[in-house]
Parts: sequence; C-alpha cells; structure tokens
Amino acid sequence: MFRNKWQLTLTIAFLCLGLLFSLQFRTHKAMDNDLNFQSNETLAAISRDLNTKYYQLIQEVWDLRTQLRLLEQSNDQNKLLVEALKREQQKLNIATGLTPVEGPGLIITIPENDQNYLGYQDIIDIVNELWNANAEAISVNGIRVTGATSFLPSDELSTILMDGKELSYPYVIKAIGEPSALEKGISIPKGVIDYLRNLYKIPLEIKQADKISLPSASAPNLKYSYPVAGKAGEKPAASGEPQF
Amino acid sequence: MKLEKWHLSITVVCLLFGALFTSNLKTHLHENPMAARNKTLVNVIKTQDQKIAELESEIKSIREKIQKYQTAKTAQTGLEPLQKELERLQFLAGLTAVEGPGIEITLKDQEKAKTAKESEVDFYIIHYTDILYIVNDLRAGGAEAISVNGERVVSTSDIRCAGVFITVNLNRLAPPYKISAIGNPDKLEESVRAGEYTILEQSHFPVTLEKRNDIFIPEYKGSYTFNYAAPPKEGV
Repeated sequence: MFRNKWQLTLTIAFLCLGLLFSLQFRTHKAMDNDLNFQSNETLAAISRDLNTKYYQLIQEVWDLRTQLRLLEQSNDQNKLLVEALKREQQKLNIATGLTPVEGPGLIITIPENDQNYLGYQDIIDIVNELWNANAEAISVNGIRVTGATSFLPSDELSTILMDGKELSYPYVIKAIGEPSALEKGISIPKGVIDYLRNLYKIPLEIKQADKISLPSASAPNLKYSYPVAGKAGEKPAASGEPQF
Repeated sequence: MKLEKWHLSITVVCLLFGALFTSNLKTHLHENPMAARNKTLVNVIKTQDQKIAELESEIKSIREKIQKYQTAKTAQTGLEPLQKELERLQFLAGLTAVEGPGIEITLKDQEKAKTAKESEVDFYIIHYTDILYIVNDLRAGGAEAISVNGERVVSTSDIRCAGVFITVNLNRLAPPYKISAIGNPDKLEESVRAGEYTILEQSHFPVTLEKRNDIFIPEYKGSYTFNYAAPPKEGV
C-alpha cells in the first residue's frame, strides 16, 4: 500500500496531528463548562447557594409530608382534611401574591435625586437580587410583584412603567424575609446596589424593618396555557400509592 | 541537498505537531494545579447536585400522591370546590406542566468568544442579564408561563450567574439557552423585539425567535418556603 517509506511516516504524523488537534479542541470546549476550571471563589459561591437551596427543599419535603400525613389521618375526620387543604391554600396564595402578607424585611428607598436616573433595568436587577437573597414577597411602590410583573421604560425614558402603570419617585421597594440576610444579599460587592451607590452616586436608603405589610395582587386571567399531566418521560407515581 | 516537496510537508506537519503539543501540555500544566486544589469543592458541589435532584424527585412524587388523595377525599366529602380552587392555585403558581401557543427563543454565544482575548470575551457571550431582561419583556407581553432550558421561571425565581454559569432557580444551565413562553405569540414577539432581544440581534449574536403553537413548559420543581411572610391576622 505504501510505496515509499515517507508516505507511511506522513500518514502517521497526520493521524497524530488530528488526534492532538481534537484533544486540544475538546480541552478548550470542556473548560468552558467544567466545574474543575472555575475559580475557588466561584465554586464556593455555587456551593453556598446550593446549600441554601438544599435546606429549602428539605423544608418543602417536610411540609409536604405533614400535608400527606394529615390527609392520611383524615379518614373519618373532615376537620383534618380541611386543615390540610387550607394549609396548602395559604401557601399557594402567598406564592401567587393573591393574599396580602406581612412580616419582617427590608425597605429600599430611592429618592428623586440630581445625580442619576434610576433605570427600569435597575429595578429588575434589585428585585432579582432580592429573590436571590431569599425574599418571600416583594412590592414596588405598593404594588405586589408576581410572576407576571414587568418593568419597562416610559416613552420619555425618564420614568418607569410597572405593569404599564407609571411609577413616581420616591421608588420604594419592600421585601419580606430575614432582614439581615436580605440586606447582606443585596449589598454584595459588584452587585446592583453597590453600582448604584458607588458608581452612579444614587443616594438610596436601605432600612431593616420588623413589620412590613404588602398588598395582594389580582389574579391573572390565563387564556393560552392549559395544564398537561403525565407528559412523556415522566414515570408514574411510585408504588405504595393510596388505594381508593 | 536537494529539497523535495515532501520535505516541506513533513516540516510543516512537524512544526504544527510541536506547537500543538506544547500548547496542549501548557493547558494541562497550567490548569491541573487549580483543578487539584478545587477538587474537594467540585466533589461537594456534585454531591449537592445529586441530593437536590433526589429531593426534587421526592417532592414531585409526594405532590402527586397528595393530589390523588385530595381528589378522592374531597369527592367523598363534598369539598370539591376547595380542591378545584387548590388546583387553580397550583396552576397559577407554576406547579403544573402546561402547554399552549407561544414563542421559543434561543440565545448563543458568538463564535468570536472562542478566539477573543480574555478581556474582550465578555462582549461575545450571553450574560444572565440578557435572559433576565428577556424574561421581563416576555412578562410585559403577557406571558403566562416561562421556562429557560426547561427550568420553570416562577414569581420567586432568580436568574443569576456563578462564574461562567448562568443559573435559574440556582440550577446551572449550559448554552445554548432556550427560553420558552406561552401566551399570545404576536404580542410576545412584539414585546420581546422591543427590548434586549433586538439589542443582541444587532450585536450579531446568533439568536432566533420562533412562534409555535405547541410550547410545552414543565412544572416548577423547587420549593416555596415562607418562614417570614404570613397573611395578616384578621380582626386587628
């Protein structure tokens, strides 16, 4: 097959080259999304966040198990059944913003100032940072933030529209949750509050409060989405399910 | 000495070979100490990922059991209205998988990101804020349900970054990023095109937007924990 020696050499050399090339490519590609190549600080931050999430999930499992136990014990006691249902109802009402809530938390006030405008994206960032700091409920200028809430610039770009309604100064963002955790969470270096304060010199004020009251939101009218159960790829309920 | 064509070929190949070999070696020499130092943390994270996945599937299975129990029990006891109300609330809270018409957006880093200088890479990659602002625009366009790479975005969801990772509900996502939303497709598109999406498009990011009538969005797998917020006590 190989008439000259050098053909063989060349073939082998090219093979090796190809191999090396693909290896090199793979290394670079893998680095992008491989935990091993992240900095120590990044990994520590990821791990810390996952830890918080872990404990929240544990709590959810605990809640659900209690709920299930109440249901199981409710055989001939309607009272327990109603209690189980009401518990869930209250939780979901808070989650969807359909009930007013109160509790301790944090109040961020941004007064009208001659330094800089606060943009609508700044509000989105602050709300997002508050959720990350485990806020349980948030309002902006007395309007409850829900899964449907949006912030857009007005036509003149100088004011902010929340769900289409114009907000006026001072902007007051209230969040219920553990006050010091909320404050610590949003005050991280290079976070949005850090930038607004130190780079844009916006004189915002952050205050912890023992009791904050947030109003409820109105229920959305869903017209396009409908529930689907048991989508492909999901396994059916585990064995030991209740018999009826 | 007489130079033949194949002499040149071999030389070029050998040069390339050498260059690649050293660069490969350098990558490994350079990265390995860091990888070793981080090994413990990486292992911790992998364990955490696994535990979280286990808890999420346990939550799913208990929620299904509760659902079955409640449906049966409430039917026996005449509490169906309350059960119906709960199902509506679960639907609103994103605890139900949903389907409907809507749009699907994909975001990818620019090819340039692979070759750009480290100080310029940021100009060519998708940032968490891009996704955050697009989600906001989708909400402004009346989105009823949103997911990013299959991770449901609910009221309390956060969209952030950790190193090179973009996270939604603290779950690390890998590019390309696929944002799905259910709602009026025309309104969603109009709203999205008025914002961040168009900025990315004009900055030559390979982004796509497609209207569809069969968007599927999975349920929220995480938790709603309320330890501080409670409805006001009545009669105060």
